[in-house]
Amino acid sequence: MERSELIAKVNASLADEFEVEESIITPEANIKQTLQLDSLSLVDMVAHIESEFGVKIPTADLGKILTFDALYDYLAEHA
Amino acid sequence: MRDYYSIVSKTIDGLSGVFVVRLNPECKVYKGHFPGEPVSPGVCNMEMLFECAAQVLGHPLRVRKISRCRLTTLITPLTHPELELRIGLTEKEPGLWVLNAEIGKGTDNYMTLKAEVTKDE
Amino acid sequence: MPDIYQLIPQRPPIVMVDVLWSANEAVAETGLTVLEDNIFVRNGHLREPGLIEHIAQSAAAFAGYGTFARGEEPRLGYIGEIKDCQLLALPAVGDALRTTIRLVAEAGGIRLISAETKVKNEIVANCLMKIFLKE
Repeated sequence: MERSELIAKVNASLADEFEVEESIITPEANIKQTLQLDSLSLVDMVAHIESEFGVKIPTADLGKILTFDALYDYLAEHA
Repeated sequence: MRDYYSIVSKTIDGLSGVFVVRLNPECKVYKGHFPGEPVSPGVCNMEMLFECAAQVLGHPLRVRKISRCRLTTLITPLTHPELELRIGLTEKEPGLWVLNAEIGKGTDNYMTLKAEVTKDE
Repeated sequence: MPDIYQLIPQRPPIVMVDVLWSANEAVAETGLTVLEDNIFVRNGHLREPGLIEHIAQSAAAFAGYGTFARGEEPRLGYIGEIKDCQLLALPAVGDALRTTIRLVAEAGGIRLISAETKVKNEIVANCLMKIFLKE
């Protein structure tokens, strides 16, 4: 998948799942703040990524994925 | 759960109600939940909500579905002895009600619940 | 399989799972026979809070299997969230519950599981549940 295609797909699916406007999802934005994830909903994001993209993010790696850019990089590497 | 809580006061207005309750730290459930560290079980707090909702409806309830229940704060009988239960019922179809409820204190919110209930036969 | 008390932190009167039948990284199976003195039994049936607690403790036993394998004590766990929970039937005293717990995802100390409980091959309850495990 082309990176631009990956970004579009990630943004659309996260915006839909977490009910936010796609326009607020920018590469440098902090994922937790933008999607308003609290400690209970962080696992929903991990589950969603695994179900939509087939990529499992272990807890050890999750701590380093703070921005959407980091998420795109991770998916590009592991998808 | 017998002697889990007592109702201090209640205000029922139509299909809404506010109940102020006190948790009983002597309740036997704490012997096992957990030994040496009493934690109010989420399901006992849910049971308390269902019982109060039954008082609002005026009939015992059968909970059919829990759409969502979020427990955001650990409640113990020592740290949270007094709680406010806010209950609202809306009839979705004849004989089926949506229950929206919260456990909190003042502006603090500890648990929210959205469920579908019918009358228990 | 270790004794259930080695897998869960709960003790009487609020033990809602009898046995862990099987477990691997992804799935576990548990059982509970509903007894008359179960604290959530009313008029001969296990009420909704008891069914939900059975599912929560089944998830605890599943996690406890992992900690047991590492030679550790079972960790305290709390229900964080319940979603899409259908309570289709209330089991009767004497019924043997059989529950399948699947690990859906794990992040930030929260385990998201899906559960299905059957009695005699009929589904009595299912749900998604998040369990918060204390360090």
